[in-house]
Amino acid sequence: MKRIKTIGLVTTCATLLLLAFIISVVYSAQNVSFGLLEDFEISWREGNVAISMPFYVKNRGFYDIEDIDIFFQLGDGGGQTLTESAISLGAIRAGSKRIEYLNVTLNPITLLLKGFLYELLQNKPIELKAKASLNYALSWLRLEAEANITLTPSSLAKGLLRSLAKDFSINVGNPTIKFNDTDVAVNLPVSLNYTGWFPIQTLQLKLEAKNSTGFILGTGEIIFDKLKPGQIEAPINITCNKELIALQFTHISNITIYFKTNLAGFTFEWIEDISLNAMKQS
Amino acid sequence: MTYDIPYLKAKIVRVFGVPKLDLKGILEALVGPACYLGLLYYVSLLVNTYLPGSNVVNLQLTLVLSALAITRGIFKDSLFSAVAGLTSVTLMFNLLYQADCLSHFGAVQTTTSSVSVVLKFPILLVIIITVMTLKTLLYVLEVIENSKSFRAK
Repeated sequence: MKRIKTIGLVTTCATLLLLAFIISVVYSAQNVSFGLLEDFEISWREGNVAISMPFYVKNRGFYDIEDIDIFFQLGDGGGQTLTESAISLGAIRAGSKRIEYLNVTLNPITLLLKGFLYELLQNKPIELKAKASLNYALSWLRLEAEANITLTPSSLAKGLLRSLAKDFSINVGNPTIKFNDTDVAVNLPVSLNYTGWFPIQTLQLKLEAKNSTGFILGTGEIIFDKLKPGQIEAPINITCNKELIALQFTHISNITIYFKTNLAGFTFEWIEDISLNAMKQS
Repeated sequence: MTYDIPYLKAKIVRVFGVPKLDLKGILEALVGPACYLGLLYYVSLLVNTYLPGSNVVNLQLTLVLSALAITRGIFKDSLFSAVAGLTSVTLMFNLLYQADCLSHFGAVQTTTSSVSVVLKFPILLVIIITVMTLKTLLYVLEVIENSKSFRAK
């Protein structure tokens, strides 16, 4: 009977301690929070798109969080890795908060070479894999979480294009033509309005003044370096030699605008022909 | 301070023993269920926050374990109490077995539609199994002891 009482006492104490520990662990884990912050940074470096995503981990529990490792991988449907990023946070002490950055680098050329862009056009799925592991409660608990998300490129691309088209607008004003003794000066007011958050590396506007036969009488060019959100007023001035126009026995009848932008090695072009004769008639 | 309930002193008393609602018994009857229910509450909060849609929390088992702990607190030093203790330990072992904890040596996996979480606790599992083994030994000894006294009656 004494033996039972001794074992009973030991068992009761051990059970209470164990339950107290488990409840404290679960309660502490309840007071750990994490999430993404809004200050996303996207930069273009040497042809790479670098995305920096800030996130926070708030540890209001009783125990330290140790050996935190986060791994992020983007792959195509065929199991090919397109980009990956790993971050090791070390330890977050009890009662503290930490802000860290998850950096992801994408190389559009590599994506093209790996056929990712082709697959994107074929509407094949993109695999997004995220893994996180940590030790908790005196390293007695190890948590490993893994998330696999499959995204459809068409829905993603449609959303991105829609947002870009909304963010970007070019307004061309009425051109003014001035004559002096030697030259003919054409002034074309251009207003570029960009409201998006996506930084554009270079933007080039080129203007060509042509006669009715398509002969180039003069050119003007304007280049925007590292375009930031906001409205930019930029008149393009074209100066042509009067004699040249006289030799052609004609006047400027057409103005062609070339719009060219460079996004991490990719060039997008847009060409617009403006007929001055049609404008005069209207 | 002990309260005896006289009308239960019939033949049934030979199995259940005399219910004694002393302070120790009341504490034993309250602490166990409070711990189980508290644990269930926090685990369910945790699961709802990080793994919505997962069915980790087992309310029925918690209620059964709480009921067994209460009956053990009331009918202590009886054959019924020992059997209730053995039942609760068996249920806990069954829970660990069902969660594949024993075969994976302290690893529990839970999966929702896109997130899979693995919780590893080998050291804690060793402690849990040790405590449960001690409990099993205690209840087996209690069963033997109560069977002897039961036969003696």
